[in-house]
Amino acid sequence: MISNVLDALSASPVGEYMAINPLAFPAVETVHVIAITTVIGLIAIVDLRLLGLAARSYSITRLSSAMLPATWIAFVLALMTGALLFASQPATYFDNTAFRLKIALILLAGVNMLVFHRLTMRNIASWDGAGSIPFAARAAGGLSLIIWILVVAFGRWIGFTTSPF
Amino acid sequence: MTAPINSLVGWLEQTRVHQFMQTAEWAVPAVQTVHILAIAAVFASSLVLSGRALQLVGRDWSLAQWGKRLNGWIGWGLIVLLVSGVLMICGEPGRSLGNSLFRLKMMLLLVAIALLIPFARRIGRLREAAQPTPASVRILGASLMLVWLAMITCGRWIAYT
Repeated sequence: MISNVLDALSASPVGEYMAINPLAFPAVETVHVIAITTVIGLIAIVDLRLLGLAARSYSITRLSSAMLPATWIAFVLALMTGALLFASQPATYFDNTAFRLKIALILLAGVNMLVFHRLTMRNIASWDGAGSIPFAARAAGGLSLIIWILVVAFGRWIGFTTSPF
Repeated sequence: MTAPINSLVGWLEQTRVHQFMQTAEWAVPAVQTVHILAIAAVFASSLVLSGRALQLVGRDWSLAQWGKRLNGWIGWGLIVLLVSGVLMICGEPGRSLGNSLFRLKMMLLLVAIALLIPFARRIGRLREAAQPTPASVRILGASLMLVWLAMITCGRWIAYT
């Protein structure tokens, strides 16, 4: 079932273009690197604030809403370029352990963010400013940092387990 | 390749770092991971400073405050990039040092540093959050972003040329 989907993607015009055109893969990969470094760098600014390690005089809600728009734009760009890279060799990536772990980690980052927004942030008014940050918020920041570092590591690992690059 | 670069490549190929980067399977992806994380620190920090200079983000803080928060990440990030970059060169000296995109990337690095120093200095003087940003600071920030984008592009294409 899934192999039919992967084969169809591979045989699609986009899949063929990504696999055959020698400039397509590095060009898309370049945009992917720019997008993912933007995502991680901006998220890290908020994570370090949640950990209480930096920007203590900037309110948490105002700092995260300042970083959010660019982070989402970069994330969507990373997702789209990632899908194009995937289309170049769908079956190979799908079977790759590093790739699977990377996707699982991105989903975990999403769950971590949801839990933080839905539950931990409920009483943010009391710790949005200079007050002491609750453990759940620090944990969300620390977990997010670790997850995104691992996403980069596994992302790089994919390249070494599928092709010479 | 010119003679001095050839002899540098020959010398690097004799080093233990070269041996290590060639034989330890995990060394190259690990160093590349560190390199990408350092790019994230430098690129995103510069993006916030340039965005703030254009009055687009983070207006609760003055540019001077943002500079205090992020200058260190740019400076230390560049040092980590240099160290991890040198390790990658040691791994495959011929492929990098002889590559014209690598040379272009290094020239762009000099341009980036030449932009960064006045950018950081001028940012440090803008201590009021409501202060308008002088055109020179906005131009320095925007140019810096373009140079980083060009450098990342060169970096990725070195592997394919």
